[in-house]
Amino acid sequence: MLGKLLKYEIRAMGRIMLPLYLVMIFAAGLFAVNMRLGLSGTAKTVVEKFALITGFLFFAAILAVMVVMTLMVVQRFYRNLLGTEGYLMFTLPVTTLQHIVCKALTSLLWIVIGIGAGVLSGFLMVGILSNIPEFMEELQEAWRMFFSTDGLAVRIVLFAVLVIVGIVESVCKVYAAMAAGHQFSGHRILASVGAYIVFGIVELILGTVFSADNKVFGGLVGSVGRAVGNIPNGSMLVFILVALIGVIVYGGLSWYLLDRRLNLE
Amino acid sequence: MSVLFECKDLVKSYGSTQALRGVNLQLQSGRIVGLLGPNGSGKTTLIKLANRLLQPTSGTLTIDGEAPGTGTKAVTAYLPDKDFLPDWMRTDGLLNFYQDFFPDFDRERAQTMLDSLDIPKNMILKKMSKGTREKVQLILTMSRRAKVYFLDEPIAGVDPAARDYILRTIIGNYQEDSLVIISTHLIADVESVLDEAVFLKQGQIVLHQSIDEIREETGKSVDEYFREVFKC
Repeated sequence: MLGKLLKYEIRAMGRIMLPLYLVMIFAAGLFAVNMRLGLSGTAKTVVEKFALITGFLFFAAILAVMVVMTLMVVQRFYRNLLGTEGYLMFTLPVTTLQHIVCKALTSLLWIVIGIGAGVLSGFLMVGILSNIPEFMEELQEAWRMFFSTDGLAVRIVLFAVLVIVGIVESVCKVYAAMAAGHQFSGHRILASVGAYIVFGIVELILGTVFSADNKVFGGLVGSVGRAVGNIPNGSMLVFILVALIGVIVYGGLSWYLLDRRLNLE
Repeated sequence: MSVLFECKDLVKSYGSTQALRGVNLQLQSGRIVGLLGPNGSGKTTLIKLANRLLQPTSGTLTIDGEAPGTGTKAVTAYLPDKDFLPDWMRTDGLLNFYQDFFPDFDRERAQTMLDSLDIPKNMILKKMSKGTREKVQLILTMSRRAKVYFLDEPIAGVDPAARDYILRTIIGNYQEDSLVIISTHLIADVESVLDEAVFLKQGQIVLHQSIDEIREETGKSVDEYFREVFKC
């Protein structure tokens, strides 16, 4: 059933996100072509104006992608599960956990595709603006370095894992805030924003309590920190662990509120 | 006939307000039951509990002997009193959706009903009139070969012609060995299709009898008797 849920969720987000990503890539290409024409010195003033306009379009597209992506993460959860569509979704023979996993994985997928589209736009611009054979050579050199430098590949893979777990944690935090806000009978959106702020404050307090400067836990945190420092990529592993705890806490809270305390309008 | 729906001492509270106060009810297969009561009597709360959209405060509720969950959702068809379908989806997309999630969905039956209303396959729900949207929702619900159907206010807010269509669709499509529970306060319109009536008043059952018994014992129609019981 999770596969079926994913199929419809990916489609629901994709119908908005995919065209937006394509516009961003197209705008990047257009901007780079105009820049290149401008650099070559032909019909300078007109091309410069075009470069300015297409540059503006490209940055507007990047901004739109980020704003729409955030809105989609919120809207797909709020409308599809907590709004009237919840009457359909929660009466499907599917568990609450499957709903949350589906929403989080789909958000992650479209964010990762968005990052990929951003990287592709960057490559496209560099490719158009520079000498293509030279650019390909540089890419190959970077690829070789990736495998030949000691520990670089591991560091990059761990960083990618951290980004992925971090995205899922952020998404789950937003879900938990909406599920908590939905416990109120009125002003549910405001309550959701309030819950998100409260989560932030709690995180801040925990961060202070478990810092090396803290009088009570400082010694313990310091010795753990030194021990971690001796492990290769130790700090990265700690960040991943903290993000994983966040996924479990916020994901678990979302599950509890949706499964045991659901109250659709 | 077997018991398909059962509540024992079912209580549901919202804070200090009790929406259901110790409901005991047994409903059997092969019956069309009217869950009748004024607004705020607890009809929707009872249906939401049966569909696991709410959790009971105390007591139990079972569908075919099982507590509400993924197992019961697979055999329960529910028509809420809301626009519950994603409005960006097309008719054929909704048919695919129901076919994917409900193994008991009879796509052919649904398609025949949609064709009879001249609803195009690629029409987006958002572009349909309110009446057409409600008919699509009903068609999808009644095209399932479910054990229990919960229809929450299916005829509220629609014109008399649409009411006839809705009632015809319900009668013509439910499984004969299944249980149909229709919640409404428009008794006169549904009385002719009901086998039994359950009167719900302030979260309590004040009557559960067959339609024939009510008529024989009171000498009144169910609608007239309802007006007497719930007189303000």
